[in-house]
Amino acid sequence: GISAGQLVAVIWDKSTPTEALKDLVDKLQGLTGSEDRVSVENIDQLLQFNNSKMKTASKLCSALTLSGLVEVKELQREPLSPGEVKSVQEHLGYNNNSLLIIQITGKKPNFEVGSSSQLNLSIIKKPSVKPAVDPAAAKLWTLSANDMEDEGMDLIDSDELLDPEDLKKPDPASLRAASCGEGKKRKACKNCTCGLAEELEKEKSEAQKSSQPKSACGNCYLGDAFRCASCPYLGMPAFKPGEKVLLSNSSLHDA
Amino acid sequence: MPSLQMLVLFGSQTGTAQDAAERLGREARRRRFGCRVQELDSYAVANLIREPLVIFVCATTGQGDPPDNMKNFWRFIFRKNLPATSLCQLDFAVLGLGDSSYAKFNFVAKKLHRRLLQLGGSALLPACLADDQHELGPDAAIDPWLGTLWEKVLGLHPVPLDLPEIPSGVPLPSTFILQLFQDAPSTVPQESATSSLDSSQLPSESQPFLAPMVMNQRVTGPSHFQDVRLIEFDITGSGISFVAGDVVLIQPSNSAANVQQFCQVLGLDPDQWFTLQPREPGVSSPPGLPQPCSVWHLVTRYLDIASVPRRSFFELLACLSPHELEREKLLELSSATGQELLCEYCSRPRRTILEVLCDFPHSAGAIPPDYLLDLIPRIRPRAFSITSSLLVHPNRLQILMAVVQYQTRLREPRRGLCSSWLASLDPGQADPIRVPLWVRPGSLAFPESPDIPVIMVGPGTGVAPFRAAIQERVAQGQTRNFLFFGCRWRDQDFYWKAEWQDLEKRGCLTLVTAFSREQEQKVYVQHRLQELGPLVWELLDCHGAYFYLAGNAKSMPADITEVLMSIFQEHGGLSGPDAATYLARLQRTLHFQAETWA
Repeated sequence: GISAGQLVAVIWDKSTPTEALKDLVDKLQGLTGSEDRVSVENIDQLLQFNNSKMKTASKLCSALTLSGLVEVKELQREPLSPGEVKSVQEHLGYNNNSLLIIQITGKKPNFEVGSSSQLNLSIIKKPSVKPAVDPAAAKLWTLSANDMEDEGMDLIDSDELLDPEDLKKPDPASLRAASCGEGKKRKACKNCTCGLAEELEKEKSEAQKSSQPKSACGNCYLGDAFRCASCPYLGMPAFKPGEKVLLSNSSLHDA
Repeated sequence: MPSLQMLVLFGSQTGTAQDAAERLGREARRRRFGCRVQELDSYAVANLIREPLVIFVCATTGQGDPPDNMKNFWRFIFRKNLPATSLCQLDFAVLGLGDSSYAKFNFVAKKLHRRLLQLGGSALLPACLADDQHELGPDAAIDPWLGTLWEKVLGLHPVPLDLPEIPSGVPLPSTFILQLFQDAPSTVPQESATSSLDSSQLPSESQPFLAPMVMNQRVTGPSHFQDVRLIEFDITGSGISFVAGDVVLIQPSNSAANVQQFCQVLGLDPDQWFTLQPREPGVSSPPGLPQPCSVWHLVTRYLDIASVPRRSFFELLACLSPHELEREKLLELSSATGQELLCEYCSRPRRTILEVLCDFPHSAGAIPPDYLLDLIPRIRPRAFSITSSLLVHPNRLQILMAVVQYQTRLREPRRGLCSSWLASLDPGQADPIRVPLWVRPGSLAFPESPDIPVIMVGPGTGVAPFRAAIQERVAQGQTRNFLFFGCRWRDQDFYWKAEWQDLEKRGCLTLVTAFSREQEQKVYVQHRLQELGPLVWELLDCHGAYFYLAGNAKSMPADITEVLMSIFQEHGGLSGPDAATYLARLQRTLHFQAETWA
C-alpha cells in the first residue's frame, strides 16, 4: 500500500540481512518517488535513544507534541496477532501479551522560523498555600476582638514601628505634574471656528503670531468644559445659543 | 460564582479615602471579583484572621492621627496581647492618603503596614503613599499603584477565561434601586432626628438634635471684609452637655435655589416620593435617609450638590451619558491622561457638582434616579468650637462663625455650604428652621485646679474656644487667665470687647491685644508674646501654667512655637536643643495644647 509522496520509516534490527534491507529501501524509494521520503532506523538505536519512558501510546503522543508536531492524533490501535507477538518475541526479546499496533499521525506546523505557538496544555496553578492559623492564636485574637470596649489594654508604641526613612518627606520635584513648567496650555476647542486651532498650528511652525480674535468661536455657549483658552466667556456657566449674556468688567477679574 | 471574595476596609475623614476605597471596589467588580467595601470601625475585626485578601485604605489626619471612623480599630490593632501569627492567612495591601506638608506624612499607612507584617500578614506590594501636595493630587500615586496591585492579585487568583473584564465604558449596576410612588404617601414619616426628650440616646450623627436658632448676630463691623456671626442655639431638652474645649457638629442643607436648579437640570419632580432598596444582599440602606423619602428631602438634606466632584463622578457620568460630545469630554476628564485637564476645569476653580451638571445638560437630563447616590456623595457635617459655657448660658450653645466666601476664576463666588446656610437663617421667623447638631469632645482640655494659670493665644475666630474656657473658669473661681487676642482693627473685629473689659475690672482676666492694621508695621499676637517673654517664662516654669493655641493652621502655629523657643532661650537660659526638649515635654504633659483648622 505504498504510494508516491508518502513518507516511510523502515525499522530494522541486527537480524535483518543488509542485502534484503537495501532492496526494500530501493523499492520503497521507487514507489514514493524520491530519496528523501524513506527513513531507515535501527531498532536498537531507537530503543537506546528513547529508553523506557515511551511505553504507552499517550506518552508517545505527548512526546511528539512537545517536539513540535501539531494535530497529533491516534488513528488506530489493534492488538498484535499471535504470529506478530511471536515475531516480536524472537527479534526483540520482548515478552508481553498486551502489545498493540498503533497508528499515529502528526503534522509539521506551517511556521516561519522563530515563530511560537501556545501549547494547549491545561496546567492548573495551585494558589499559594498558607499555613492554618494556630488555634491558640485564633482564640486569643477572637477573645480580644470581642472585647473592643476595653480601654485598659496595653498597646505597643506605634511610633517604634517607624524607621528614619519613614520620617523623610518626598522630594518636591516628584510632586510636579509631568508636563508642567511650560505654563498653561492653550487649547483649541473641537470645532474651532475662531482661528485658535490654526494659530496654534502656525506657532508650531514658528510663523508670526496673529492677533488674538475676541469673537465667539461657536462653542462658547457650551460651558467651560468645551470652551477654548481664549474664550471671553470662561468662568461663566453654559447658556443657550443666541441668548444674550452680559460680560461686565468685574467678571473678567482673576482670582 | 466569583473566584475571590475581596475586602476593602477604609478610614476616611473628608471622604477622599472613602472615594478611593469605592474606586477599588468598582475595579474589583469589573474584574469579576466579589468585593465588600466597609468602614474599618463597622467591620467585625474578629473575622480578620480568616480573610484571604484585604486592602486597607487609610487617611492620615491632624497630627498623624487616624480618621474618626477607624479609631476603634487603631486602638485594637496595637494591643500587646495579639499573637504574632494571627494574620498568617492574610494577603494584604495598604493604600495611604496624606499630605506631605505635615511632618507625620502618611504615618497611619506606614504604621499599619508594619504592624500587619508584625502580626504575620503577607504584603502584596509596598504601601501606596498618596499625597495631596502632588500637583495632580492623590491619584498621581494611586493610579500606578493600582496597576501593580491588580497584577499581583490576578497573578494569585486568575479569573476563568469565560469571565472577561467589564469594560470601562459600561456602568456597573447601581447600588440602590429607587421605587417611585404614584402619589405622596398617606403617612409622612417622622424626621429621623429627635426634637424632644423622649429619646434615651444622646444626640449623635445618626440621630442629631434639631435645635432652634435663637440668635444670629453679625459681630464684625459693617466695613469689615468678613461677615462673622455669633450664633446661639436653644438645646433645651436635648440632653446635650459639654465643657469648654468641646466641639459641635452641624449638618447643613442645600439652598432652595440650588435645589430647584438641580431638579430642573435633571428633570426631577421635588414632590416625588420613593423608597430605596439595596441591590445586593448584605448592603444596608443609606443611613440618615428616611423611608419613604421625597426628592426634595434627598436633594436638600442629603446629596452634596455643592461639593467639588471627584474623578469618579466624571467616570460614572460618562458611562451614563447618551450624548456623544458630552460623553467624549467626560471620558477625557476621567481618564488618567486627562487629570491635568480635570484639575484645571474642576478642582482648581472649585467648580461644584451642580455647576458641572449645568455644563453637561444632556448627560444630566439622562441620569437614571437609581444612580443618584452612586454619583453624588452625602453632605458631611461641619465642626465648630463651642464658644459658650453652660455655667453662664444654661440650655444654650453658641458658636463664632465666619461666613466662607472667596473668588476663583469662576464668575460666581465660592461659598461655604454650612456657613452660608446658617447665615441665611432668621431666628425671628414665625416657624424657625431647626438645625441638626450634636456634640463631641474637642482636643483642648483645661485644668481643674484654681491655682493653675492658663495662657491662651487665639487670634481672630481662634478665640472661640477660649471664650468658653474663660466663662467656665471664672464661674468656677479660676481667675488666673491670660488671653492673647489678635485682630485687624479694634473697632471692627474685636469680638467680646465689652465682656473682656468687664472681666478685667473684676480681676479675672489679663488681656493682651494686637491690632495688626492699626499702625504702619503689622503687629501680631506673637509679637506681644515676645514682649511679655519674662512673664510667660515665669508662668510656665514656676507656676505650672497651661499654654493653649487656637486658630488658623497656616503659619500662626509655627510663628508661636518659634517665639516660645526664643523665650525659653532668652529668659529661661536654655540652649537651642534644650528649648526644643522643654517644649516637647510641655506637649507630652498637656501643658501645651493646640487646636488649629485649615
